[in-house]
Amino acid sequence: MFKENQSGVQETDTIIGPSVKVEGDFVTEGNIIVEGTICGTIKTSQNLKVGPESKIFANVSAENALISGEVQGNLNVSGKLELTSTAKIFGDVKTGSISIASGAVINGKYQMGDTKNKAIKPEFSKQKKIDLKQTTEKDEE
Amino acid sequence: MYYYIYDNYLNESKHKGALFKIESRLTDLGINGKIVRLSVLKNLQKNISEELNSGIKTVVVVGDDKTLSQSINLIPDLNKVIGYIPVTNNSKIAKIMGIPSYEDACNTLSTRIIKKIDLGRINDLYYFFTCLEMPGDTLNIVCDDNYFINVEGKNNIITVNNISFDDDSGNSAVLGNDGLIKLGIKHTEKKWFKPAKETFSRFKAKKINITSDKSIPILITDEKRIVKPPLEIKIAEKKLNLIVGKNRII
Repeated sequence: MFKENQSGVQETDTIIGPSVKVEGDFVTEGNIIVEGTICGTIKTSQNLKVGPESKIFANVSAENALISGEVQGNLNVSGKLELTSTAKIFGDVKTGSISIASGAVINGKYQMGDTKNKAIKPEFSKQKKIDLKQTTEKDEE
Repeated sequence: MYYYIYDNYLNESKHKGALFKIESRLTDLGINGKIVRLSVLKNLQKNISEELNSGIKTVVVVGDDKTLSQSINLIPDLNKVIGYIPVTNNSKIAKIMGIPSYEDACNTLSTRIIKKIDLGRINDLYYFFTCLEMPGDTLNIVCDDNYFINVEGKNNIITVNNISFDDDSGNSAVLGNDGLIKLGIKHTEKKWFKPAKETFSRFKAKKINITSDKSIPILITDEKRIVKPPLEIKIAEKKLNLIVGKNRII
């Protein structure tokens, strides 16, 4: 996540600095670094990094996320979600995989892994039904 | 036919040697043409608009980045090709065009590789090639009609880039030609007896709307203009026909 390219420059399209507050639907296809405040929604098809001083009051959707700040809203991360010790999340979390440092706070429902592959249920319908009356009659004979 | 515009500062005697070399090289290459020397009394806008209607296809700006930016503002709508011969050592635009010296620029003109370049446009009035700068303390910014940027505190400078440079040397540049404007916000936090702390924000958008209660002083490549709000800044795609060198970054 947020690897440097060959020229040594980080490939980050959007940086929201500590002096900036963004309100509205923030949709982009590049990497995002948040050090300030966002209200609304954030959607990116790539990586999201949330700094320790930042506050997000928004539903977040990203490929991968590294969170050190406060998020008030639902998190939907399809890849890897990394929470550092200063991270605070007040909302539901849905992620592919997760790494949580000691001290991180999550208040909300939590779902991990691919949602299509749900827990295996026994298939009763394929089994032959046992007629209990017949079995008792046979026993009496 | 080529039309050469010499900037006002080239009338100084110290540039005579460079101009002589340029002119003799252009003659050798067979691409010499009409020369107009700007002066305090000769306005660039008036000169270009008069001459371009007389069948000239290529305009070559001889001077610095400021001269080029001023000329660019007039040329795109007329569908002409523009070339550049930098007579300065600090030209960032020349570096990204792949013509670091005036000798290279003369050879580049003769090879005539033409590339269509995006330009930034303000209120359908002004074009800009690289960037514009404005104070950001009282501005309201809306990007792509989707989100609103609230700049907190004082000492903010807002830059809007078509082509932005990562460092002052101009060796590396964030390229244009992607149809997006790059918005930068530089905030300087000053405290007593402590060094000033700078923080940066960066956004990309197709359209930026800026509103303010007051008129906005804008610096377009060192040229100051005062524009009345609201401002609508967007990209005019493939608007400029520019002659570029082999070693270009754009």
